[in-house]
Amino acid sequence: MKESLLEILCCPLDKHDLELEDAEYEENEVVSGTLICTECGERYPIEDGIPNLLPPDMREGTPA
Amino acid sequence: MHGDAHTFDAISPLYDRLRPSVSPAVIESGLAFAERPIERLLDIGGGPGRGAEATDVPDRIVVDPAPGMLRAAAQRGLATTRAYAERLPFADDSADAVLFVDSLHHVDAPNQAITETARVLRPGGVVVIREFDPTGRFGCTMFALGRIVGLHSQPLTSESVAVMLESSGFAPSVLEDRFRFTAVGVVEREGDMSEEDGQSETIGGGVLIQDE
Repeated sequence: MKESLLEILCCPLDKHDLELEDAEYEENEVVSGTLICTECGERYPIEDGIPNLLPPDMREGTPA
Repeated sequence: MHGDAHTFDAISPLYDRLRPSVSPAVIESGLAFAERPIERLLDIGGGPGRGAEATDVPDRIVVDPAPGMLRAAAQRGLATTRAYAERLPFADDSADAVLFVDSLHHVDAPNQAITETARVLRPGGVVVIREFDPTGRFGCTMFALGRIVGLHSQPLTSESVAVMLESSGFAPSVLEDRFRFTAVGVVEREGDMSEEDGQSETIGGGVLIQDE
């Protein structure tokens, strides 16, 4: 994902802003890292450059 | 994953090849209802991104719960986000257009998806919903085939989609064609409601758009 996507992404639960942590980049794209909700602290992984913003209770058993 | 996401993830390589093509003309005719320039579009339940690809919007984001589908979309150069339509991870007033191309019937709670769509769209923004007409023979066959591969879709009629749109504050219009319908909703701009409420009279109106 491009980092500019963060300007509109938010927590799917409480719609607050997200902060990017542990980001790894390849050619201006974020390929892995964690998005953390600035309000509830929920953590959302970036997998293969795709932000996974499924709510945690709807994430079970999903392939990476 | 909930609903049909697992099934779609399993069939994504095949689906990408077999899925019926998306008519750019039909999508464009829906997007033309927008009352603002379209700079950012969300293709919700967009799978490999055929709907987004049928437009020339500068900023296109494919939203889907199935990662296999999104990898295919990313290979086409489209931005991707893994999410459910009922819990959109996008800020209020962050998009100008939203597409649901043959996807709303896979959503567990379509009403909630439309409410979320109204939240993320800017005033004057547009939602375009393409669905197989479940009352026609072709639509019936598509839904029957879906059940065979294990999908749990709930067929939607144009009337039910128009009601959903209206209850979320959209001014709805329905464009009919042979096998499918296109429901379009425009977000009211501030002040529009008092000036004119004639737009909602176009519900089910006879605008005809032919599939090629």
